[in-house]
Amino acid sequence: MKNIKLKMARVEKDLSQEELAKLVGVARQTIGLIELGKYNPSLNLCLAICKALSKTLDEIFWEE
Amino acid sequence: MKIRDERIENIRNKIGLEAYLITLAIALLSLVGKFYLYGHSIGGVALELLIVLGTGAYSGIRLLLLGVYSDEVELHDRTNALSMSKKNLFIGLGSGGLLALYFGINSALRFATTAQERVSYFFVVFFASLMIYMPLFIAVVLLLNLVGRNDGKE
Repeated sequence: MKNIKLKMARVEKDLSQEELAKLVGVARQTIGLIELGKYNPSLNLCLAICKALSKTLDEIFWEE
Repeated sequence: MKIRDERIENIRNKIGLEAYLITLAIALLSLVGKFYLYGHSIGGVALELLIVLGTGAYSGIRLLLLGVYSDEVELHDRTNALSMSKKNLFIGLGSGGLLALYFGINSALRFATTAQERVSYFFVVFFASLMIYMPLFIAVVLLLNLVGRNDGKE
């Protein structure tokens, strides 16, 4: 399932996928695949993404 | 804490496993081919045996020492009607039987001259091998099981 919340949070901070990837320390494709719902990140990676976007886990990764 | 791209690591690990399986397959093919072409000479297939048995032993020992084997047994027993120990026992019995069958057929074909001799050689070697190898395989399988479980419990 697509992670729209992640995309919105990224756009809110005016970051490209590449910029977010650089902040987190992963490849751009990894961020892209997480947003498309084609890759399940580990808890550590989720936390790193949340920290980079100043959001909580629930705000980005909780499925409604 | 520094983040590493786990997706790339997972893909690399998967490719590593595939490369290992391909190497194993090539070594086994070479082993069988050499046995068929040049006869049963251990010296001629030493490298292939080292690759096949050495890497298998290394993986097995590492799995045991890290306690992964006992975790796998726990997960397997949770979802399967037949427990891992019984499954391993049957595998031990089956492997011993197959090896005895191979030795029996091999002796019958290589050393017997008449049909009667073939039959008698087959049965003698088959049952003798069964008596030797089946308990051996079962003992090895049970020992591995015991060691694996004890490691997990610690």
